Amino acid sequence: MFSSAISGLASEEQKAKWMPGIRRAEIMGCYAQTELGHGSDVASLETTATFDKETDEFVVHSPTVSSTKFWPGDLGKFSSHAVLYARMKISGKDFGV
Amino acid sequence: MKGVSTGDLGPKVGYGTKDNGWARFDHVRIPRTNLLMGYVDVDREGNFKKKGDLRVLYTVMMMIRAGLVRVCGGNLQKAVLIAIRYSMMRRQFQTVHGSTEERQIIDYQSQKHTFGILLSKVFVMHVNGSYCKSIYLSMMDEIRS
Repeated sequence: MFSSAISGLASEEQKAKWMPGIRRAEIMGCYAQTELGHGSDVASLETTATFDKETDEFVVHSPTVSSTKFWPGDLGKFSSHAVLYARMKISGKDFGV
Repeated sequence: MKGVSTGDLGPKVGYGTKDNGWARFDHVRIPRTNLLMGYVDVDREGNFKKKGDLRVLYTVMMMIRAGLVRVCGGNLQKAVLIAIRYSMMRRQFQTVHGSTEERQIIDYQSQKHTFGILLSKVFVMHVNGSYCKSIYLSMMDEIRS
């Protein structure tokens, strides 16, 4: 799921950066969508990724208990990386998941 | 990684090899370019742009759902195969008229009843699984085009 998410959703440039490591199993990833309070209803996810223009970064945060990522397979021990589903916020505007 | 807490959910009934886990994030900073930008784009100034049909974001999980139907059918197939082969080999009670051999247990009604139903389910699940996969694939073709 992790590798199919990257190969399906990433740009060509990003695929070139990440896929070789994934294929060689140097990057073990998981697909972190489901939260404690939200499963397949992806639009309800609460984890936020807020753009910080100053530093050119996203700030990822779990604002509530129900926003805790819960049940994703391989998240417990294996993974070094994750494809994380979150609500994107830029300059106060919520772009959804 | 700073600000990330994770844990393993521990033992469960079935699928013990999968380490389902949890994770929480406390203001964790990642580079903007880590946003998967195949279908969306956020530039240095924070301008958001769609590059395709965003419904594609929901499809990774659907692939797994469609696959589950196939996998369940496949697993049941293996179990039923083992059970039916055993029922052919295993013999109990000298009840066949004129024979000194004991009867194959597959001859017993209750055994046939049990495995006849499960064997039928194998076929149904196999066909259904292939159908679900074909729906998924044609949906993906539509979204991408």
